[in-house]
This record gives sequence, C-alpha cells and structure tokens, in this order.
Amino acid sequence: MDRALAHSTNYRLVLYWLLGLAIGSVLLSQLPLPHTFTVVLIFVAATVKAWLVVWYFMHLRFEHMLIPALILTPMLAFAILLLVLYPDIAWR
Amino acid sequence: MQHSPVTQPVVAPPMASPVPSGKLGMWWFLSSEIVTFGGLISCYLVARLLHPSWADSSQQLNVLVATLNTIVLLVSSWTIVMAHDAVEHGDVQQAKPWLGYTILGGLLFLLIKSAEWSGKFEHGILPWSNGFWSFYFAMTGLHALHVLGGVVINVALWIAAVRGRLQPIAHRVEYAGLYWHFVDVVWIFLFPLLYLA
Repeated sequence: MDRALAHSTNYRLVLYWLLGLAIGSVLLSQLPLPHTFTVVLIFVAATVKAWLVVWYFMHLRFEHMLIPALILTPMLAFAILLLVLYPDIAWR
Repeated sequence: MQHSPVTQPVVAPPMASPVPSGKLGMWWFLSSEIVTFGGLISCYLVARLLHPSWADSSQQLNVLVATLNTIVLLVSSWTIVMAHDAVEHGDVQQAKPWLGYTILGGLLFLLIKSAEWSGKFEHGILPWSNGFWSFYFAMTGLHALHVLGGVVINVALWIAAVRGRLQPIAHRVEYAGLYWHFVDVVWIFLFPLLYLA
C-alpha cells in the first residue's frame, strides 16, 4: 500500500458518507414509493457503501492488480449463479 | 550396475510476490468467504422471489434495532481503519484505544443481535417457523459468528498492545482490519436484504 496516499484519505468523511447512505436507505424504505423502485435504490446505495468500504477502508485502490482479480473471480461466479437461476424464477 | 550420480536436493527459490504473503492469505480467505455468503444470498434471493408471502415475516423484524446495529458496525469499521492508520504512522500505542473501540463495537453488535434473537424466540419465532426465518437465523447467525471471530482477533491484538508487544506484529492490525471490513460489507448487504426489501 502506498502509505503517503493512504494517509491522505479522509476516513471520517468516508464514515459520514456510509452513515448518510445507511440512514437514507432506511428513510427511503419508509416512503410510499413503488416497491421495485425503492428496492433498486436501496441496493444501489448498499453497493456504493460496499465500494466505499472496500476502496477506502480496505485500501483496494492501492493494492496490486492481483488482489482485485482475486476478489472479482468469486463475485463473477456469484453473478453467473444468479443469471443462471433467474430464468427458473422468471418463467416458472 | 550403474549408479546414479549424487545430486544436490532441489531447493525451490522463494517466489517473489508483489503482495506480502500474510495479506495475500487474508485476501484468499476473504475470497472464499464471498463464495460462502454469496451462495447463501443467492439461495435466499431465489427463494424470496418464489415466496412473495415472506414479506409478511420480514415486516416482523425491527428496522430501528437493525439500523442501530448497522451504525455500530460502520463506526467500528472506521475505528479499526484508524488503528491501522496509527500503525502506519508508526504510533503503535495510538492503535490501542482504536482497537478497544472496535472490540466494544463488535460486542455491542452481538449484544443487540442476541437481544433481537431473544425477542423472536419469546414470540415463538424459531428457525423452522418458515423458510424466511430459516434464512434469517442462518444468515445472521453465520454473520454473528464472523463478528465473534473478529472480536477474538481484535482482543488478541489489543492485549498485545496493552503489554507493549504489538510492534513486532503490527502488520497484523491491517490483516485484522481487512477481515473486520469484510464482515461489515456482508452486513451492508444482509441489512437491506432481510430488513428493508
């Protein structure tokens, strides 16, 4: 990890974003909006939160390409699993 | 009879890796954990879409309590990155309180989670009540076990810090942090899946 770059990260600001997105998701879920729309927004917020944690707190942005490749492989398998299972639900 | 020449044992030179072996090992472990939780979440998504009635069970969950737990875990993720930051600055003693706060966060999360589970048991909601509750107890239970494991690791590092023995193993704060952040990421997805969707 590049120490100088890592030290320039404002971890407190990242935390504020994480808390804001978490509380925002909860408030959004209580609004009288179409369910599908709400669910999509909530999972977009969850993905952004996960990205903030992995990118800034886990310092993925400073890591060698080996590490992203290592974690993207099972995530790709996870995506394929969902895609393969989806027709079974959609056309049941 | 021919004798084979005496040869020197082959000693493989150590492989040069761009990533320290300990960190690489931790990322490998986390990669396998993605498969574990990913498999569970995939099964839940498929089952949930096939059983729209599970939304009624989901509404029995306390969103406020889960939100509080989410905040606790997010803040503890910040405290452990601050511990790592202190180590990176060469200030090992400063890492001690941050590790302590992270341990408290983990314990608070487990306390809130156990209170939530107790409430469900008191209302007669058990893992075999229906498919939703099976997934709920399995996923939150497995996650809580991971939190417990993280607390144990952090306690070990904190004790080393208290005894002034953290310096030689200071790099392990980063590895413990990677694990703790992963546990946080899993909860980031479990929370909306079970409580909000």
